[in-house]
Amino acid sequence: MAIKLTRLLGILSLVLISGCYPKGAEFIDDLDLVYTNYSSSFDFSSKTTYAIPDSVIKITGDIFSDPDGDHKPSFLGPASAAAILDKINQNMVSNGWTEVNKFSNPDVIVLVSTVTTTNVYWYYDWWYWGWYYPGWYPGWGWYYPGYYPPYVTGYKSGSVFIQMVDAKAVAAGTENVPVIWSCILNGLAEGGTSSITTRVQGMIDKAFAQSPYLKH
Amino acid sequence: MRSMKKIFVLLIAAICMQKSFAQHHSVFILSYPIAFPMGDLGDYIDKQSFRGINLEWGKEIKPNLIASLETGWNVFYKDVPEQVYTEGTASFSGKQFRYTNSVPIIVGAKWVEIK
Repeated sequence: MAIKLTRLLGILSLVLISGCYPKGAEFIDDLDLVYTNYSSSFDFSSKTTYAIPDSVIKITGDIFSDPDGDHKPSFLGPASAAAILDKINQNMVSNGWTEVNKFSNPDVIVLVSTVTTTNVYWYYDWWYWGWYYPGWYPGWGWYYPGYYPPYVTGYKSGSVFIQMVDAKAVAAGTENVPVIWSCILNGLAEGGTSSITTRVQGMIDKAFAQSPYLKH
Repeated sequence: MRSMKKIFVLLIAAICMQKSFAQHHSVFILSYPIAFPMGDLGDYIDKQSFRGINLEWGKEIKPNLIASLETGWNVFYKDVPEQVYTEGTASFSGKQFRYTNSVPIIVGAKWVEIK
Protein backbone atom coordinates (compact mmCIF):
# COMPACT_ATOMS: atom_id res chain seq x y z
CA MET A 1 0.00 0.00 0.00
CA ALA A 2 2.77 2.38 0.98
CA ILE A 3 4.65 1.63 -2.25
CA LYS A 4 1.52 2.19 -4.30
CA LEU A 5 0.95 5.54 -2.64
CA THR A 6 4.53 6.59 -3.31
CA ARG A 7 4.21 5.63 -6.93
CA LEU A 8 0.92 7.51 -7.22
CA LEU A 9 2.49 10.59 -5.67
CA GLY A 10 5.38 10.28 -8.08
CA ILE A 11 3.12 10.15 -11.11
CA LEU A 12 1.01 12.99 -9.75
CA SER A 13 4.06 15.19 -9.21
CA LEU A 14 5.29 14.50 -12.77
CA VAL A 15 1.94 15.65 -14.12
CA LEU A 16 2.12 18.76 -11.95
CA ILE A 17 5.68 19.53 -13.06
CA SER A 18 4.91 19.26 -16.74
CA GLY A 19 1.72 21.23 -16.26
CA CYS A 20 3.27 24.25 -14.64
CA TYR A 21 6.50 24.61 -16.56
CA PRO A 22 6.68 28.22 -17.78
CA LYS A 23 5.70 28.65 -21.38
CA GLY A 24 8.02 31.38 -22.59
CA ALA A 25 7.57 32.52 -26.16
CA GLU A 26 4.02 31.78 -27.28
CA PHE A 27 3.73 33.71 -30.51
CA ILE A 28 6.03 33.79 -33.51
CA ASP A 29 6.70 37.50 -33.12
CA ASP A 30 7.87 36.96 -29.54
CA LEU A 31 11.17 35.84 -31.07
CA ASP A 32 11.61 38.77 -33.46
CA LEU A 33 14.88 40.61 -33.09
CA VAL A 34 16.03 43.92 -34.51
CA TYR A 35 19.74 44.62 -34.62
CA THR A 36 21.33 47.83 -35.84
CA ASN A 37 24.89 49.11 -35.83
CA TYR A 38 26.65 52.07 -37.43
CA SER A 39 29.98 53.70 -38.02
CA SER A 40 30.45 56.42 -35.42
CA SER A 41 33.03 58.18 -37.62
CA PHE A 42 30.51 58.76 -40.38
CA ASP A 43 28.67 62.09 -40.29
CA PHE A 44 25.07 61.16 -41.02
CA SER A 45 23.72 64.68 -40.42
CA SER A 46 25.52 66.14 -43.45
CA LYS A 47 24.11 63.51 -45.84
CA THR A 48 20.62 63.81 -47.19
CA THR A 49 20.28 61.89 -50.44
CA TYR A 50 20.00 58.18 -50.96
CA ALA A 51 19.47 55.70 -53.75
CA ILE A 52 17.82 52.33 -53.39
CA PRO A 53 17.31 49.49 -55.87
CA ASP A 54 13.71 48.49 -56.59
CA SER A 55 14.47 44.85 -55.81
CA VAL A 56 15.36 42.80 -52.77
CA ILE A 57 17.92 40.11 -53.45
CA LYS A 58 18.13 36.64 -51.97
CA ILE A 59 21.51 35.68 -50.63
CA THR A 60 21.89 31.99 -51.26
CA GLY A 61 25.49 31.54 -50.19
CA ASP A 62 28.52 33.64 -49.42
CA ILE A 63 29.73 33.27 -53.01
CA PHE A 64 27.58 34.68 -55.79
CA SER A 65 26.65 31.98 -58.26
CA ASP A 66 25.00 32.82 -61.52
CA PRO A 67 23.74 29.63 -63.11
CA ASP A 68 21.56 31.37 -65.73
CA GLY A 69 24.35 33.75 -66.73
CA ASP A 70 22.34 36.99 -66.59
CA HIS A 71 24.65 38.49 -63.91
CA LYS A 72 21.68 38.82 -61.58
CA PRO A 73 20.95 37.02 -58.31
CA SER A 74 17.58 35.57 -57.29
CA PHE A 75 15.07 38.19 -56.24
CA LEU A 76 12.39 38.24 -53.60
CA GLY A 77 8.83 38.25 -55.01
CA PRO A 78 7.80 41.75 -56.17
CA ALA A 79 4.91 42.08 -53.70
CA SER A 80 7.05 41.25 -50.64
CA ALA A 81 9.92 43.37 -51.95
CA ALA A 82 7.62 46.35 -52.49
CA ALA A 83 6.24 46.00 -48.95
CA ILE A 84 9.76 46.04 -47.50
CA LEU A 85 11.13 48.80 -49.75
CA ASP A 86 8.07 51.04 -49.31
CA LYS A 87 8.44 50.82 -45.55
CA ILE A 88 12.15 51.67 -45.73
CA ASN A 89 11.47 54.60 -48.08
CA GLN A 90 8.71 55.85 -45.81
CA ASN A 91 11.08 55.82 -42.83
CA MET A 92 13.94 57.40 -44.79
CA VAL A 93 11.70 60.24 -46.01
CA SER A 94 10.25 60.86 -42.55
CA ASN A 95 13.82 61.00 -41.24
CA GLY A 96 14.60 63.79 -43.69
CA TRP A 97 16.28 61.89 -46.51
CA THR A 98 15.53 62.41 -50.20
CA GLU A 99 15.55 59.58 -52.69
CA VAL A 100 17.52 60.22 -55.86
CA ASN A 101 18.44 58.19 -58.90
CA LYS A 102 21.55 56.05 -58.51
CA PHE A 103 23.27 58.15 -61.22
CA SER A 104 22.47 61.45 -59.48
CA ASN A 105 25.40 61.23 -57.08
CA PRO A 106 23.57 59.96 -53.96
CA ASP A 107 25.27 60.32 -50.57
CA VAL A 108 24.35 56.81 -49.52
CA ILE A 109 22.97 53.68 -51.12
CA VAL A 110 20.60 51.39 -49.26
CA LEU A 111 20.85 47.71 -50.19
CA VAL A 112 18.27 45.22 -49.00
CA SER A 113 18.76 41.47 -49.03
CA THR A 114 17.16 38.46 -47.45
CA VAL A 115 18.76 35.38 -45.98
CA THR A 116 16.84 32.28 -45.04
CA THR A 117 19.77 30.14 -43.99
CA THR A 118 20.87 29.81 -40.40
CA ASN A 119 23.72 32.28 -40.79
CA VAL A 120 23.91 35.90 -41.75
CA TYR A 121 26.60 36.51 -44.32
CA TRP A 122 28.02 39.83 -43.24
CA TYR A 123 30.75 39.51 -45.84
CA TYR A 124 28.70 38.01 -48.65
CA ASP A 125 29.98 38.35 -52.18
CA TRP A 126 29.25 41.95 -53.13
CA TRP A 127 28.97 40.88 -56.76
CA TYR A 128 25.34 40.11 -55.84
CA TRP A 129 24.89 43.83 -56.41
CA GLY A 130 27.02 44.09 -59.54
CA TRP A 131 23.88 44.34 -61.68
CA TYR A 132 22.66 47.42 -59.84
CA TYR A 133 25.51 49.85 -59.57
CA PRO A 134 27.55 49.99 -62.73
CA GLY A 135 30.48 51.75 -61.12
CA TRP A 136 31.35 48.78 -58.93
CA TYR A 137 33.98 46.34 -59.90
CA PRO A 138 34.49 42.72 -58.99
CA GLY A 139 37.00 41.76 -56.36
CA TRP A 140 35.76 44.15 -53.72
CA GLY A 141 34.27 43.24 -50.39
CA TRP A 142 32.41 44.90 -47.57
CA TYR A 143 33.87 46.53 -44.54
CA TYR A 144 32.24 47.89 -41.44
CA PRO A 145 34.22 50.99 -40.45
CA GLY A 146 34.77 51.22 -36.73
CA TYR A 147 32.44 48.43 -35.66
CA TYR A 148 32.31 44.72 -36.00
CA PRO A 149 29.19 42.80 -36.81
CA PRO A 150 28.39 39.94 -34.46
CA TYR A 151 27.91 36.33 -35.33
CA VAL A 152 24.19 35.79 -35.70
CA THR A 153 22.73 32.35 -35.94
CA GLY A 154 19.38 30.74 -35.35
CA TYR A 155 17.15 27.97 -36.50
CA LYS A 156 14.33 28.00 -39.01
CA SER A 157 14.93 31.71 -39.11
CA GLY A 158 14.79 34.30 -41.80
CA SER A 159 16.53 37.62 -41.89
CA VAL A 160 16.21 40.84 -43.78
CA PHE A 161 19.59 42.46 -44.05
CA ILE A 162 19.80 46.19 -44.78
CA GLN A 163 23.14 47.80 -45.58
CA MET A 164 23.65 51.53 -46.01
CA VAL A 165 26.74 52.18 -48.07
CA ASP A 166 28.75 55.39 -48.22
CA ALA A 167 28.35 56.04 -51.95
CA LYS A 168 30.93 58.83 -52.04
CA ALA A 169 33.58 56.40 -50.83
CA VAL A 170 32.75 54.07 -53.70
CA ALA A 171 35.21 54.87 -56.46
CA ALA A 172 37.46 53.04 -58.83
CA GLY A 173 40.67 52.17 -57.04
CA THR A 174 39.12 51.65 -53.63
CA GLU A 175 39.39 48.20 -52.17
CA ASN A 176 36.16 47.76 -50.28
CA VAL A 177 32.77 49.30 -49.83
CA PRO A 178 32.18 50.88 -46.42
CA VAL A 179 28.85 49.90 -44.86
CA ILE A 180 28.09 52.79 -42.53
CA TRP A 181 24.79 51.48 -41.19
CA SER A 182 23.69 47.90 -41.04
CA CYS A 183 20.52 46.38 -39.80
CA ILE A 184 19.30 42.84 -39.32
CA LEU A 185 15.69 41.93 -38.83
CA ASN A 186 15.57 38.37 -37.64
CA GLY A 187 12.67 36.14 -36.80
CA LEU A 188 11.13 32.78 -37.41
CA ALA A 189 10.28 32.33 -41.06
CA GLU A 190 6.93 30.85 -40.16
CA GLY A 191 3.37 31.80 -40.95
CA GLY A 192 1.76 33.19 -44.06
CA THR A 193 3.34 35.73 -46.36
CA SER A 194 1.05 38.53 -45.21
CA SER A 195 1.80 37.96 -41.55
CA ILE A 196 5.55 37.83 -42.25
CA THR A 197 5.28 41.04 -44.26
CA THR A 198 3.43 42.79 -41.43
CA ARG A 199 6.08 41.67 -38.94
CA VAL A 200 8.94 42.79 -41.18
CA GLN A 201 7.31 46.19 -41.65
CA GLY A 202 6.92 46.58 -37.89
CA MET A 203 10.57 45.64 -37.42
CA ILE A 204 11.70 48.19 -40.03
CA ASP A 205 9.94 50.90 -38.00
CA LYS A 206 11.72 49.67 -34.87
CA ALA A 207 15.08 49.64 -36.65
CA PHE A 208 14.73 53.31 -37.57
CA ALA A 209 13.34 54.19 -34.14
CA GLN A 210 16.41 52.70 -32.45
CA SER A 211 18.76 54.51 -34.87
CA PRO A 212 18.14 58.18 -34.00
CA TYR A 213 21.40 59.26 -35.72
CA LEU A 214 19.68 58.69 -39.09
CA LYS A 215 17.23 61.48 -38.35
CA HIS A 216 17.77 64.97 -39.74
CA MET B 1 33.33 19.56 -10.19
CA ARG B 2 34.93 18.90 -6.81
CA SER B 3 31.62 19.38 -5.06
CA MET B 4 30.07 16.92 -7.51
CA LYS B 5 32.68 14.37 -6.48
CA LYS B 6 31.96 15.03 -2.81
CA ILE B 7 28.26 14.56 -3.35
CA PHE B 8 28.91 11.31 -5.16
CA VAL B 9 31.13 9.98 -2.37
CA LEU B 10 28.57 10.96 0.25
CA LEU B 11 25.83 9.34 -1.77
CA ILE B 12 27.73 6.05 -1.96
CA ALA B 13 28.44 6.32 1.76
CA ALA B 14 24.78 6.88 2.50
CA ILE B 15 23.77 3.89 0.42
CA CYS B 16 26.43 1.65 2.10
CA MET B 17 25.27 2.79 5.50
CA GLN B 18 21.73 1.92 4.62
CA LYS B 19 22.80 -1.55 3.52
CA SER B 20 24.96 -2.40 6.52
CA PHE B 21 22.60 -0.97 9.10
CA ALA B 22 19.44 -2.30 7.56
CA GLN B 23 16.74 -1.17 9.90
CA HIS B 24 12.99 -1.18 9.85
CA HIS B 25 12.26 2.52 9.63
CA SER B 26 12.40 4.47 6.44
CA VAL B 27 10.80 7.69 5.45
CA PHE B 28 9.75 9.32 2.20
CA ILE B 29 8.73 12.96 2.18
CA LEU B 30 7.21 14.77 -0.72
CA SER B 31 6.97 18.51 -0.26
CA TYR B 32 6.18 21.67 -2.13
CA PRO B 33 8.90 24.29 -1.87
CA ILE B 34 8.63 27.96 -2.76
CA ALA B 35 11.97 29.47 -3.67
CA PHE B 36 13.15 33.06 -3.53
CA PRO B 37 15.98 34.13 -5.83
CA MET B 38 18.81 36.07 -4.17
CA GLY B 39 22.17 37.46 -5.13
CA ASP B 40 23.15 37.14 -8.80
CA LEU B 41 20.13 34.99 -9.57
CA GLY B 42 17.91 37.64 -8.00
CA ASP B 43 19.44 40.25 -10.32
CA TYR B 44 18.64 38.06 -13.29
CA ILE B 45 15.18 36.87 -12.25
CA ASP B 46 13.59 38.80 -9.42
CA LYS B 47 10.45 36.70 -9.26
CA GLN B 48 9.94 34.01 -6.64
CA SER B 49 9.29 30.52 -7.89
CA PHE B 50 6.08 28.73 -7.05
CA ARG B 51 7.02 25.97 -9.44
CA GLY B 52 8.85 23.27 -7.62
CA ILE B 53 8.88 19.95 -5.90
CA ASN B 54 11.01 18.36 -3.22
CA LEU B 55 11.63 14.66 -2.59
CA GLU B 56 13.35 13.20 0.43
CA TRP B 57 14.28 9.64 1.30
CA GLY B 58 15.46 8.72 4.75
CA LYS B 59 16.52 5.54 6.49
CA GLU B 60 17.03 4.97 10.18
CA ILE B 61 20.64 3.87 10.56
CA LYS B 62 20.75 3.98 14.34
CA PRO B 63 17.95 4.49 16.79
CA ASN B 64 16.63 8.01 16.23
CA LEU B 65 19.30 8.80 13.61
CA ILE B 66 18.10 9.09 10.05
CA ALA B 67 20.39 9.38 7.05
CA SER B 68 18.63 11.21 4.30
CA LEU B 69 18.98 12.09 0.68
CA GLU B 70 17.00 15.02 -0.54
CA THR B 71 16.59 16.44 -3.96
CA GLY B 72 14.26 18.92 -5.53
CA TRP B 73 13.58 21.14 -8.44
CA ASN B 74 12.56 24.74 -8.77
CA VAL B 75 12.22 26.70 -11.95
CA PHE B 76 12.62 30.45 -11.95
CA TYR B 77 11.11 32.29 -14.85
CA LYS B 78 10.69 35.84 -15.95
CA ASP B 79 9.89 37.44 -19.26
CA VAL B 80 11.20 40.88 -20.01
CA PRO B 81 8.98 42.90 -22.35
CA GLU B 82 10.45 44.10 -25.60
CA GLN B 83 12.93 46.92 -25.18
CA VAL B 84 16.00 48.37 -26.87
CA TYR B 85 19.41 47.45 -25.53
CA THR B 86 22.30 49.65 -26.65
CA GLU B 87 25.97 48.90 -26.29
CA GLY B 88 28.39 51.23 -28.03
CA THR B 89 27.09 51.77 -31.54
CA ALA B 90 25.03 48.58 -31.57
CA SER B 91 21.36 48.53 -30.66
CA PHE B 92 19.30 45.45 -30.20
CA SER B 93 15.60 45.09 -29.52
CA GLY B 94 13.59 42.06 -28.63
CA LYS B 95 11.87 40.20 -25.84
CA GLN B 96 13.74 38.16 -23.27
CA PHE B 97 12.64 34.89 -21.75
CA ARG B 98 14.74 34.05 -18.74
CA TYR B 99 14.81 30.62 -17.17
CA THR B 100 16.82 29.06 -14.40
CA ASN B 101 16.31 25.51 -13.24
CA SER B 102 17.71 24.80 -9.83
CA VAL B 103 18.19 21.25 -8.56
CA PRO B 104 19.58 21.10 -5.05
CA ILE B 105 20.88 17.74 -3.81
CA ILE B 106 21.34 17.35 -0.09
CA VAL B 107 22.73 14.40 1.83
CA GLY B 108 22.04 14.74 5.50
CA ALA B 109 21.63 13.17 8.88
CA LYS B 110 18.70 13.88 11.18
CA TRP B 111 18.06 13.22 14.79
CA VAL B 112 14.39 12.34 15.20
CA GLU B 113 12.44 11.61 18.33
CA ILE B 114 8.91 10.44 17.94
CA LYS B 115 6.85 10.41 21.10
